[in-house]
Amino acid sequence: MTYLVASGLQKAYGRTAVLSDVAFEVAQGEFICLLGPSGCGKSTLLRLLAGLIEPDDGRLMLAGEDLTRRPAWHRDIGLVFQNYALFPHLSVARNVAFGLEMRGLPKAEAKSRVAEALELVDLADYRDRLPSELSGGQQQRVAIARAIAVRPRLLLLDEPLSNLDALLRGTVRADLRDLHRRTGLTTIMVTHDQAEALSLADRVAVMSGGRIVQMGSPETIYASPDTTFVASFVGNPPANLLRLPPDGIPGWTPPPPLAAAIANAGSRPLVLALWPETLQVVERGHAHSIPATLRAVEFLGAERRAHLRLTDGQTLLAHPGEQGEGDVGVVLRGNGPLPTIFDAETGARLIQVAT
Amino acid sequence: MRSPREAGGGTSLSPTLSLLFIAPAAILVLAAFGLPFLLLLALSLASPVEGSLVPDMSNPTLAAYSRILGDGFYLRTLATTLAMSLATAAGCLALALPLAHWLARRAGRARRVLTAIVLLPLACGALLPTLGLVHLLGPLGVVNGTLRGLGLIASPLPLLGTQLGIVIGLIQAFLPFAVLPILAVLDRTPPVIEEAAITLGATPARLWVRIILPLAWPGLLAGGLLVFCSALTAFVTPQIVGQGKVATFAMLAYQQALQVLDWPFASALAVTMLAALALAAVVTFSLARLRP
Repeated sequence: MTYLVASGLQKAYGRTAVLSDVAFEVAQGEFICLLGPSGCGKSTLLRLLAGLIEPDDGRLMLAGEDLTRRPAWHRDIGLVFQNYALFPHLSVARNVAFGLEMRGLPKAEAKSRVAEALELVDLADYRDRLPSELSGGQQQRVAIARAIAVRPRLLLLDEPLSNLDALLRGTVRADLRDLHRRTGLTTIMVTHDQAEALSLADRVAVMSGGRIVQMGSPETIYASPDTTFVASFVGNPPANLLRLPPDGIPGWTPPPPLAAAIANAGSRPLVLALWPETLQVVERGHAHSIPATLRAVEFLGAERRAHLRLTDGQTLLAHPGEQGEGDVGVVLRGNGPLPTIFDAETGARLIQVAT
Repeated sequence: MRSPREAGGGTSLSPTLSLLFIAPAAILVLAAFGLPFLLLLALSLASPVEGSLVPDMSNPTLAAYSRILGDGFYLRTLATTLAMSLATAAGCLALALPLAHWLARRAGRARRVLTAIVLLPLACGALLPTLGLVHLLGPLGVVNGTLRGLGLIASPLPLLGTQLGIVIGLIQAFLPFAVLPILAVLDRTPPVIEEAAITLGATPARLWVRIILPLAWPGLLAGGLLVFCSALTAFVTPQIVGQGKVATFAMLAYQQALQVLDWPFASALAVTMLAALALAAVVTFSLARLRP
């Protein structure tokens, strides 16, 4: 069941288009992440949903109501700002109560809703403190409590983890997932961190250049990218993107299904995406192996990662074998995203090949 | 977030050396303000000597003060001056708050130029703008001409030589004193705070009352006090725009000091004004706790 429908959203500042033809649908209770590099328009889209800016064109429907021209203060949408934006002159409890006061809620009910919201973010003991007396993480929890106390129809989170130190980030990530499970609020979160998006979202919308280039489950976004941009942006490390010259990568005879697919794609320039976890370093000369030079093996604790260079200078990440630095081969070992062929000029996916 | 002051902590200078650096300023304040003030206080207790500029300081007396408090004219003038100063402060704040907010939040690149224009009265001194104002406010001036041309009034509004005219002149002269502190306070609060209030359901009116006004409160108090004090002691503008028809306390003190040459009485008038200023400061500090 669709709950939020955005269609044809456009926004430009002067001649610079910030959002071009953005359209998507969100079901009630979903957790959506808007993922993209800085300047991709994701924050603008979030502010547009909140009503802080108006679209030049397009429509926004929430639960069957047209929100496009409704002022922000009548939207019932909770927004948690990146810098928290707490009211410095009000106590924690009065910050959280602010939205309820604006709605004219009776005192007694407002009081219990504030207590409930502060309980939910584990800050019940801090109700009389001023924001300046709290740590960054605590301030953020106040901002979240303030947004959810009004029981918004939509919860928007603007880069909620970016101002926290690495240690806290993992905890808050778990807290956010837990909060979403307990409140059931339809949530849209902006982030530039693909790991955050993959771990939190029901669905991820990858944005680039003011457009949503792909929207889907984290698994789909990772393993079946629609474009080379998505393939290069999602995953840590992301897929290896190899330029395929017309006469093939020197010294490599791809496995027959892949060779056939490459041949079928015609004579246009191609890009082949191969995920590091599907590649295995073997000895030079192994059947269907890509000749390469092993330059270094990186030790990362739970795993190791091989850095390789092909004979034409392209670089590759793969799963290391027993080989030392020097001449080796790289083969496909299955288990993981399928090798994917893209049109090099448009960046569009042509085919995924089961080998 | 820590302010630079907190983060900076102590300087590398030794306490003694730091004292040495503030010494010139301290000496200046003492010599240019402290000593004359004590002299003023002493003079106000002296009695004038017939035919001499040097008052008799041998028998301290409160005669000058009892003359001020016992004469309806001086008390009325004090009341008028206080009322006009209060009106000036209120008028300046009413104009300065939206102006400062606009400069802080919306002016963007034009902000520097616009702020400079707002501050221009400070650079011009009191005389030139006030003379210009005489032309604007006169019976044949731009204000009356426009109102008559629009058919809003039949005969010219008496603006020159009235309290209203003086208050308009004082607002013009002291507006920067109100804008600057408010601007400083608003600059210290991130604009997203206002956006947060809006997304939580605050209409524009409630945003102003519940968020912007309380945030700007310290700036409003500082600006209000500055304008009030400046207006209370203002001399040039009331003299020129008032055209001698409206008496203010500062003008009375001037007359007594330089025309009547009764220095003890002039000093007593000045001390009374200073007392009013001190009272205004006390009231302002107590208002700080009443932040809405």
